Amino acid sequence: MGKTGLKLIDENGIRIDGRKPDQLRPISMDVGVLKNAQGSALVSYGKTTVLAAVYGPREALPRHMTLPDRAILRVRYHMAPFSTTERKSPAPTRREVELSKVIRESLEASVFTELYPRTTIDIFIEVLQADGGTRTTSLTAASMALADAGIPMKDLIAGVAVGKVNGKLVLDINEAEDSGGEADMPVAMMPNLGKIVLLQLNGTLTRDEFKEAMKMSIKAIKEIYLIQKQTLRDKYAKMTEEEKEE
Amino acid sequence: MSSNEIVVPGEELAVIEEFSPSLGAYSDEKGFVRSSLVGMVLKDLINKIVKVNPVTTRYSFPSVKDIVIGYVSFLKGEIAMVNIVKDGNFKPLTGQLAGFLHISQIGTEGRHINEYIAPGDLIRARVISSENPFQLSIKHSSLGVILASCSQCGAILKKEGDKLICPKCGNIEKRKIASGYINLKWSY
Repeated sequence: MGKTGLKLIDENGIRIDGRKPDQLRPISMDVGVLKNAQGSALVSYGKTTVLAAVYGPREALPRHMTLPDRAILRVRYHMAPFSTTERKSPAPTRREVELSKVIRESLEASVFTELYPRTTIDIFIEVLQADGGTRTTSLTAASMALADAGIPMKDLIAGVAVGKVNGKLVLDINEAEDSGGEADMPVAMMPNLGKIVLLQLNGTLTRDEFKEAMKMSIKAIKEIYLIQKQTLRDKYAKMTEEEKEE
Repeated sequence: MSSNEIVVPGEELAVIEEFSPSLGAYSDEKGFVRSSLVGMVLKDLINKIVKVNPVTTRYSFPSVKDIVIGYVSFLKGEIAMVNIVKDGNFKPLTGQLAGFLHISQIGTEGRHINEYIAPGDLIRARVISSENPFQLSIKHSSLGVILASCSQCGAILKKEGDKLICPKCGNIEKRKIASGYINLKWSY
């Protein structure tokens, strides 16, 4: 039983939404969805839908904010008032400010900021629908938007959350599992380089559980990465075809 | 020489012993050459260089020797600050960038900067540094002020000979005029 006394996983190991413990939600991705932004991406993990837009590198004002040796990243993670079941005030909450910082630090690990000194790269992340795992979805979307904008970076970033519900580890948790479960561990990494850029843990896991959770998330991240790669390739293959026709 | 393969950031292109990374590629600490962009791989087998050509560039960022168009925002000491707004073909940049013009990059040295340009002038300049704020130069006959307004009455100045004359009040102003000065066909 979870904290709320809700049964989140049945005798056959099937979860509340009908998934197996190590199964991802259906993932869909699209890039270049916004025309005004230099890069954009729309990513959804099941019901969680996130829109990311990248503007820049551009002049930062006030100029004293900029750094002489590299570009600064400004990340705004924001949840739309209509993203949750109960209306969320559009003012940035403590949680949103913190997630903006966490996402920024993860992206800083991958972007070659030193190529654009004294400028800023602005990343706007809007959660359109929240159903658990918004920070990992946001990171995946932000990384795709940066790639779409043509900003040089070391690797794409893909993220997924692993949780523990009713004493069992489950992959890619949704809202019900997040609030009713015992632990929530978002992980994001650069799959080609094998580097972890985000690792948080809410709740407690034993050593063995942690190891198992890491294994599960790495496997899932590689799956998500393949979808990212395919999405970007399809988009650009289509673009080059259109160019040829012209 | 080239292949039509599309790569995404982080994809392995070669090992450092085979190719040196050029534009759009980098080498990681383990000695793999990886892509840093989404684009087509180009392998130069003669010079042993691998680069990634981006399919499209969505943002504009001037590089050294590029020609840009900008407004002079203010003069301070021996420096003029410029807001770069367009590239050499008058195509707008994705965002405004800052440039600065030192008196040594204008022409004959020793005179005050306000004898060459004034705030509000539209100038065509060459970029001589690749960092923001970009260092600019107008040391060429094709570079310099391409549109200016009268400091007395604000009317657009007309080029007559090597001088700028105000068609409204007759005021004569001195500038470093570019050969492509825009003489508006419009009178007061």
